[in-house]
Amino acid sequence: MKSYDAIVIGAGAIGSSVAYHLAKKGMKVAVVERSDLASGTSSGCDASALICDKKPGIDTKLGYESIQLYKKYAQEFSYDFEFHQRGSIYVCESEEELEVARGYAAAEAADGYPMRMMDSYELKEAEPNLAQDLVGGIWTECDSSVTPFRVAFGFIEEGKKLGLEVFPYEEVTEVKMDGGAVSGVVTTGRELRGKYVVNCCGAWAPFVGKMVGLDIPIKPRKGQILVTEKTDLLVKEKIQEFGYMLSKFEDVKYERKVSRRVEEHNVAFVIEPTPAQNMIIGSNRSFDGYDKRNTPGAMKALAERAIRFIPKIKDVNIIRAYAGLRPYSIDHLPIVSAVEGLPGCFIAAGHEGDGICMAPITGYLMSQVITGETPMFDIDRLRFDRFRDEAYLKTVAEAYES
Amino acid sequence: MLAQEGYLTIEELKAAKDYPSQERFGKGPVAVIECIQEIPCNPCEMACKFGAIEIGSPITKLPRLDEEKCKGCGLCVPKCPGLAIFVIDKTYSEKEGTVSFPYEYLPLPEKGQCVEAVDRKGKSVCIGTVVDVKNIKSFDRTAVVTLAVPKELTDQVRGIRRGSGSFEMDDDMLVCRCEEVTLGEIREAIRQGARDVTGVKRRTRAGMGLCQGRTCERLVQQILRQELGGKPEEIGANTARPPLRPVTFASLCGGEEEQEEERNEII
Amino acid sequence: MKREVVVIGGGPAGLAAAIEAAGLGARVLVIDANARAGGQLFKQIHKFFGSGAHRAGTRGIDIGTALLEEAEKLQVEIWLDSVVVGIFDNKELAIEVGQDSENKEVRMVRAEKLIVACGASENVVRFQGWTLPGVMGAGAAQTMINVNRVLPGKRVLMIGSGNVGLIVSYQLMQAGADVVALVEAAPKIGGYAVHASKITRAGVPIYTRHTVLRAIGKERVEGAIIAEVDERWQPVPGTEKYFEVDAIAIAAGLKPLAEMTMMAGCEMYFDPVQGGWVPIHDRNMESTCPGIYVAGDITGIEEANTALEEGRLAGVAIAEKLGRISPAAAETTKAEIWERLGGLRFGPHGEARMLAKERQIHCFEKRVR
Repeated sequence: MKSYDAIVIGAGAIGSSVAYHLAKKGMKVAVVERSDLASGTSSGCDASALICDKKPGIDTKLGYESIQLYKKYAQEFSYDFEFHQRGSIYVCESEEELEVARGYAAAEAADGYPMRMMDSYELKEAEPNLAQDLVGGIWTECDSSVTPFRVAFGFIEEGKKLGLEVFPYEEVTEVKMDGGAVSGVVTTGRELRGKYVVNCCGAWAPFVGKMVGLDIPIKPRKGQILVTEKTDLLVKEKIQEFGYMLSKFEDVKYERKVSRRVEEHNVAFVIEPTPAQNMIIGSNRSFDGYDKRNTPGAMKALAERAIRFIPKIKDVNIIRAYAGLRPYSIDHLPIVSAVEGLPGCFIAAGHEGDGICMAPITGYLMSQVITGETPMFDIDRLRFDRFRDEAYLKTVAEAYES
Repeated sequence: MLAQEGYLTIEELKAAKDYPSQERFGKGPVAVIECIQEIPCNPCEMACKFGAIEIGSPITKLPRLDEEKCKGCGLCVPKCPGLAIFVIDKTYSEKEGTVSFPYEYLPLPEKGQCVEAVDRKGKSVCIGTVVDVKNIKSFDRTAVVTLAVPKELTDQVRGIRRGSGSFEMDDDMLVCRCEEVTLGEIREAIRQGARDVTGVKRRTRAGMGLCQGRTCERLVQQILRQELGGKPEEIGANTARPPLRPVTFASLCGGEEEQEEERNEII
Repeated sequence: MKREVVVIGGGPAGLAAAIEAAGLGARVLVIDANARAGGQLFKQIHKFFGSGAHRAGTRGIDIGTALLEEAEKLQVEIWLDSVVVGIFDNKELAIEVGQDSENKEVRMVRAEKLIVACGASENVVRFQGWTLPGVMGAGAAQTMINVNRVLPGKRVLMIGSGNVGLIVSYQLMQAGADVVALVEAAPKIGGYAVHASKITRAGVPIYTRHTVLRAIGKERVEGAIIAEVDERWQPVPGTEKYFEVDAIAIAAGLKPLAEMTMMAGCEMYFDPVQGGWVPIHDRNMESTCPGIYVAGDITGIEEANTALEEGRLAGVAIAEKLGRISPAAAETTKAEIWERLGGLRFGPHGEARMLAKERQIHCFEKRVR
């Protein structure tokens, strides 16, 4: 039986990053993936690494530091994961939205992040294809894009140079325990011994959690996306409606003036150009279990919302729709943590829509946690333990109700 | 045209030096030396056992061919570092002549193959048949290929299309037209671990274009089967996703919004 | 919007299903992507084989016309230039309608019963130069000559000796083109001997155990090289032949257009005899998704005659489910249809298809149980 320092379960963007960073620490690492690399949520998402959609505080910090790592790896890796720093724009439809946006941008700027307001004139200058009635927006200079599945391939390819071993198409069926600590995994193909086992299964993390008696509060939250034909790109960078924030966080209360189907399908407009000359248009959020199919209502609502913000897009062809399952955690923060009372067991999951953005920093921090180093910044709020704290759960729940 | 475009025209050639006479061509194979710039070089002179090529001193002088002494043996062909010597045989058969030329690309053509013959400019001229391929040790990896072509084209044909030596499926062959993905890229993706149609797609973009793999899916499946020998169930197919044909945003968004009552009535 | 019976595809299978169901009193909508329904029938200018009882000896185009007339008489609703772009839960279809880009819109239609009869697409073959203009599917060449009245080329090389390759070669000559040769990789001609004899009589050489190595040309096809293949299907050096041609038509078989049934969630299985991935179905042509029926080439590549019968079968089965025909009467009709299908799937050319169909139905029964 082969023996490793660490076994990473899941080879999406998060798992491959964790594996790479552990290998970089000199560990002997194996990655087990039940299907192909990057075949889950990392192949069903959009392509951004942004801070503009994060909440001030640790959320933004994770995003920002992750983008810095992306920048560094884009230089270092021989595998091209198509990193581009183009910036991003948030657009506001009404004075009311603009007011919320001002407060938000000011808070982020106060923390030192490169975020500032744009007026409607500047918006038109920057993106002439945007609807003419938009009142303004936020410009976030550091925001970037990557090609998500290439991120996973990149970490794996670079990791292989450091001795990383990959076992694709093997599903973990059992996590082995020895004297109260994890000691390895059994897959459909073999048994692997390992001191540390890291659960990086995203929306599927609860299933692996159950194998060691853990109840991991992550739920799949579906997002649907439309892909255009290759065409003249109508935008230069990622553009999102500020209402995106509103659909993402239940605790922000604001009524958008939108059609019934946009409301019903929880659609917020986001568009981004890809290196392949397509545009991808999102997105919505819904809880449909593990069903990854597209639905006609959401597709129609996505198209409607896209035309509202980019009227010229009406004549562009959509060649495909797809959907992905974001690993949603109740407080919108990922788990990057050891498991108290279960030596050797770690979790890096629950990033919802930020997994691609936060993959590098998550791997980096996780490797620090596993080796017992002090993390580069305080990540106490990412501890798994928080979900065992009744008082905390109550506050989170109350925040949504208010 | 040599200075501007990099190739000789027959007129330039004939004007610059003694191209073998029609009379000599009538007698059998003869060397044609297409070297018209004075460069310091004389291996051809040394190569000829019959003393038919003369450069003399200084070695920048152009080679002169004594067409009567030349037996058309072709030993000079692989020796010329400039790949500028050819042997033409206009007596090969009633309608065909042969052109022997140096060839340093892999794969080498095989005797008996039909290949695309090109002229000095690399332009395709006709289909020729390979009648001989010599690649002996003393040629030091410069093979000499002899190609039969229509007699009237022997003054034009000076080589073959690169790669036309092999009918192996070339790695640069397009498989996915929409995303311009080649066979080589697909093979590379398989080496990187792709085992099924979607794995190839993710690594190469094959099938991500306008036709969404409707044309190339079958080819990708074949390549996977050839490379890995997997079962159809393992190789799989593209995931069926809407829209099955491209639709515009306006079209998708069009159509009346369904009334709640109507919807309930159906379910 | 809601319809009782929706048929996707107005080819022989779809029209036969629609006529059968409408004849028994169901309200039927047919969705067809083309400007005229009839599918491949309007390309079939030759006389069909089959049983004299069912219009054998009639040309495909005349069968198409008759089916359309019958459908009209039975007030079958037909949406032309309408493309199904999605199938969702509860048999909800997204259908793009409208001819001009200006007035196109995606309409949603819910079907109580759905018949997917969208046919097949042509397989491509890869060889050097297969992407050059002038290389095309044999079916596409047939559409050009028989529907659009345009010659795809003056000198054509045909790849593939199945019935499509043989028939289209013949029709290309009828349309005024020369077929310089027909190439077949297998050691034997695939299609009916009478079709092969028709074209050899016209002077077309048939090269079995040969393959096309490359299409030659800069902007478009100017020539093609073929060569003999050995037992491992590898070209034998020295056996190359060159043909000056301006078109290469490929009849390398058809592939069931299975994506709609995949999207609907029907269980599929792979059978090379059927042309690849096909939905499994029961003896009523119903797939593993209740209420979704399949008929024609999508259930396995066959021919127009079998497609017509499968369509009828689905039509009767649906009428029965909707209570428009008594189970006893339905049983009788279905038995007759199965008997005719048995006749069509008989003999050296039909037996493999008969066995494949049995496997397909067996697979359904096994999985449903």
